[in-house]
Amino acid sequence: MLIYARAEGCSTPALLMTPEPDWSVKMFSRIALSTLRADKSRPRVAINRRTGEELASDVTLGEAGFLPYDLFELVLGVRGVPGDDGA
Amino acid sequence: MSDQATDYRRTKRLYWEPSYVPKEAIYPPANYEGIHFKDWDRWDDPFHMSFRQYVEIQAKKDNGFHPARDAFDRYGGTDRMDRRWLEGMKVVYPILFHGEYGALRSNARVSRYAPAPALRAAAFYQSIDELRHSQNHVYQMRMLNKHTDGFNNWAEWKRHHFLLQPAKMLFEDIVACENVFESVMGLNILVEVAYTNLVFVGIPSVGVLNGDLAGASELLTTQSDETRHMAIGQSTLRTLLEGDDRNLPLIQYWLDKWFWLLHRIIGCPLGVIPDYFARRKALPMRQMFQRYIVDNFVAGMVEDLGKFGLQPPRFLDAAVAEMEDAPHTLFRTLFQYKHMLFNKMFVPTETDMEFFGEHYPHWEERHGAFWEEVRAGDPKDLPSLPMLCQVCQLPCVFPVPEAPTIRCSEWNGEVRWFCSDGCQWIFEHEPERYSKAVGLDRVLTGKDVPEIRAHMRLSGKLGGVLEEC
Repeated sequence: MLIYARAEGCSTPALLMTPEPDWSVKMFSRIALSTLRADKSRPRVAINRRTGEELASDVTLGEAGFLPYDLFELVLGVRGVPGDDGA
Repeated sequence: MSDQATDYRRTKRLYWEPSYVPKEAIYPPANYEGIHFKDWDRWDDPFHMSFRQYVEIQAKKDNGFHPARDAFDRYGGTDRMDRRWLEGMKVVYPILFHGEYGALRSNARVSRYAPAPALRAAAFYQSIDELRHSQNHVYQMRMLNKHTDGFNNWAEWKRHHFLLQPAKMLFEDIVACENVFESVMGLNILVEVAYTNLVFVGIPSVGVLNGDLAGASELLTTQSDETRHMAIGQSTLRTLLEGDDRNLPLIQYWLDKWFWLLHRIIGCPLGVIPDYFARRKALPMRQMFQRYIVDNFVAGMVEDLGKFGLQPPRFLDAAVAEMEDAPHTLFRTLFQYKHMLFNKMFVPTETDMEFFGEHYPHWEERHGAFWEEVRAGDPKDLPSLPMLCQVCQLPCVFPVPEAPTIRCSEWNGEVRWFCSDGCQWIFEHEPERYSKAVGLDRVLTGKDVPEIRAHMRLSGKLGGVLEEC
């Protein structure tokens, strides 16, 4: 898949990434936060920026309805980092 | 009648009513579709220039400038230029070349297809001016190339490097305007009237403070031609607005559109020169923008042409607000890609930061933490190119990377991203025109840093950090 990822509040701009469709939102969130060099301690919610839809952490990227070049955005929120059990 | 008047009258009369082909076959109406005007002979060039006078004047300028530049270099002037300024000029000259060469091509086309005879003659002179300017920029790079790396491969970087793609897009877009009057609006009004004073007067004044006397002379000899270019734009604009009030909506659209494109692609990036690459600073970019663009260009134009219904540019307020952050945001972004550049970057000094604190009230709050992390040892280098705007090809990082105004449109089932409301607005008015660009971030997907450098024709130790900052 070809989708952009960015993390709100992070100085890294959105970067184009190539995750696999069977990766979960939880797994990709961890990878994206690391690649984007974002602060992992802040609680975040994953959304599809184009639709505004919030993504459940256990769905796969293939199931999440992304179009090519969609933006997977980790916005600052209260539900915790998707996939971060401690948050 | 004086020689000048005679020469001009002959130039202006170098056309006739064709007898063996329709006039539309020579000047196809598609080149001015949507413009309502009949008496093209009314368009006048206020300079009344003849070719003989033109050659004499231009020869004097070049005979004065080239020996001065050579003497500057021969007596060690280049070695005394501030190193930071020199790194900034590595970016400025290829962009200027793009602009001048695009203007040459655009005016050559206007001089062939414009329906007004005097406009064709004036555009012909301007196209030769632009060739002189582009050659002078190359001469300048040739001189500087003897003293440092980062100038040697500018022609390849012009085609392949992400830093130069926005300027390439802008000037190819001006050249490619189907309507010659849109080219005149984009180039002669927005580039020439709005921006050349900022680029060719504001920037040289800072260059002199940093030891770049040759560069200042070069930019000022360029500016000496711009008055004629501005006159072409102003004369065209006034003629069309006075001639038929049905022209207003199309002209207002072009003003709104090209104002934003010039702000985004020239105004925002240019800010890193006076604010960062200039060690010795004069006015901050924010104030230069206010003086040259808002007070001089917008206020002057509205005062002059407001009676015909022309309004200030649609995104003026957004542009003014952005200048609070744009130079700082772009310098940070460049710093994150210093391993993919042909010039070197540096960390702002305490003196720089005092200047920012004094002139940009939100600098510490919005940009200070980034540089604190750099000082703590974080190089901030990124592994791949950022999301680039579909319209302007700049990174989607404005006003600040932490909270950018990213916008999205779907067109023909594809997702397109924009850096701003302005770029999205332009795309939605002309999606066919602006959907064809493919950003380098997409072209280079999946490539590692050495592969990206190879694609952008970067060799050796180009880029990185300037040690002696």
